[in-house]
Amino acid sequence: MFSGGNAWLETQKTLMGEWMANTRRMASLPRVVVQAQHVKKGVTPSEIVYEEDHLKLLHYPGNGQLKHETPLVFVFALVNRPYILDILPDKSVVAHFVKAGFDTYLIDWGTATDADRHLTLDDYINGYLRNVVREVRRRSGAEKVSLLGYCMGGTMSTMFTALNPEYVKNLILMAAGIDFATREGLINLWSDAKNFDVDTFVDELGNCPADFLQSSFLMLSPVRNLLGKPLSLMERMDDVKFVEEFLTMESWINDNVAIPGEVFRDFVKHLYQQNLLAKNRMQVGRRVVDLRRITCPVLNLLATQDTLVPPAQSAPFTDLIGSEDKKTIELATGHIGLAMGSAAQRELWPQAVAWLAERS
Amino acid sequence: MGSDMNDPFSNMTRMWMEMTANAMQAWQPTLGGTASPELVRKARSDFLQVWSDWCEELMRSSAFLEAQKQCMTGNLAVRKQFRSTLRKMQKELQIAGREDIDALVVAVRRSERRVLDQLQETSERFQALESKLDCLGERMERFMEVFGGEEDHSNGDGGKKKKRHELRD
Repeated sequence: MFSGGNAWLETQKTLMGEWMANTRRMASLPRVVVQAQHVKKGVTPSEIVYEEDHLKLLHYPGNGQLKHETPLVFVFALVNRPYILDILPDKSVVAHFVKAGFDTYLIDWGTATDADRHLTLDDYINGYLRNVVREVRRRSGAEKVSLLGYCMGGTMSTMFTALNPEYVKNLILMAAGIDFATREGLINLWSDAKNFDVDTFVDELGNCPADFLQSSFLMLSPVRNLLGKPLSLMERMDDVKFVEEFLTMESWINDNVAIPGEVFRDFVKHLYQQNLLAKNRMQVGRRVVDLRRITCPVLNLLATQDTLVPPAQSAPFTDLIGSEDKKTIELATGHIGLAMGSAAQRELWPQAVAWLAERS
Repeated sequence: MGSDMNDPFSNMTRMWMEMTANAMQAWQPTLGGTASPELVRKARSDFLQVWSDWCEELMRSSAFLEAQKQCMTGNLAVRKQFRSTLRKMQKELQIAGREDIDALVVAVRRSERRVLDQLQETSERFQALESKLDCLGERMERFMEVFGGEEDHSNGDGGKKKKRHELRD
């Protein structure tokens, strides 16, 4: 009887504690709404030094003291906005390199409109990217540049390096898809030729819509995205730092942009369905990309829990190239965690900066 | 009894049953007594994990892939039909539509490709011409050396002096 009374009291105490905690969280709601309206997009001071169509090339002047001769160019994907690489003061990949004295640039591809649906990978790699590299070489006076490509930007950087090895001194890839033979990832499975008719899709829609991309990414982990995340926000609504990071992250995730139709067709058909890049048969414009032509130092960064670009898709890269100086670093995190995760900030990026510093 | 495992419906039913059983296991520690908030959170997390695994398995199943493909094909067909009707109207009203702009862009792209082809061809011809000129230059030099040598020989010391003078200049 006595122990039963104790248990009842204990339950009441727990319930009261939970009720108080919930009240505290709910009281934070107006602050969360205000915070959501003031999400930052890019924190390191930058200036636009080159523009072409929708493309903008950002330069990070830092404190003006450069310690390395070779400039570094960040090449981001076409599916999202590039500010994930410079999202918060203590979670900025760009800031690591700027602080280390690198002459740092970042390509913002802009937002493709309906008028851009005919742009192909050739336009992006042999056009825009080539012009950016030329501009960076002109500004810095350096013969070669270092490229750091993230996700689809990594695939594009790889193609550029294979086509123009004379302009690239070092190549760093972050979760970049190279060997698309794997069916480990859901995206790989969904985009298989027998499951997805990319020609009809592009012919009918023109560009690949941002909503389509967003819902596809959401469907990779529906329970986590639709239930897990809102629950974790509700539980930690009174934690200002957590809410700031959560809102910044979610704003970026929901900031998808359309991919030009022909680029989407090239990517799905020639890479996801035919895996031509790994077979050295990928054609960009008039030239065929031969990965064996990449002989510069290469650093391949992988996320072992990546559901978007599974490690099996990026790990084979170092076996396909002609470089002798090559290194792979794996981190137990997801696709986005590789850029802004705490473990990446603490362990991965200092290593990557040191690796590049030795070779610049 | 004797259910066909290749049948999408049987597969879905099996997956659902497995998921339900696992989910019940996740909630088991909290049933029949007072559970601490930590235990409830752990059970919730396990439940979400089970559900997540089930979704993953479902989205990899042939039934889901087939349904997804049919859904997309159907949507695109409706869209195509609608655009075709719209196109007819545009044509009647003599309004430029997406197809006209596309045709224009394709035409410009073709012209661009032709110009680039011509440029590449011209560039290759220039290169070939350059290498031929280089060869010719080398042969000329060799010829001049031989010819100059003979001339020097025939002219004696005067010729040598003349060449050294030229070199100095």
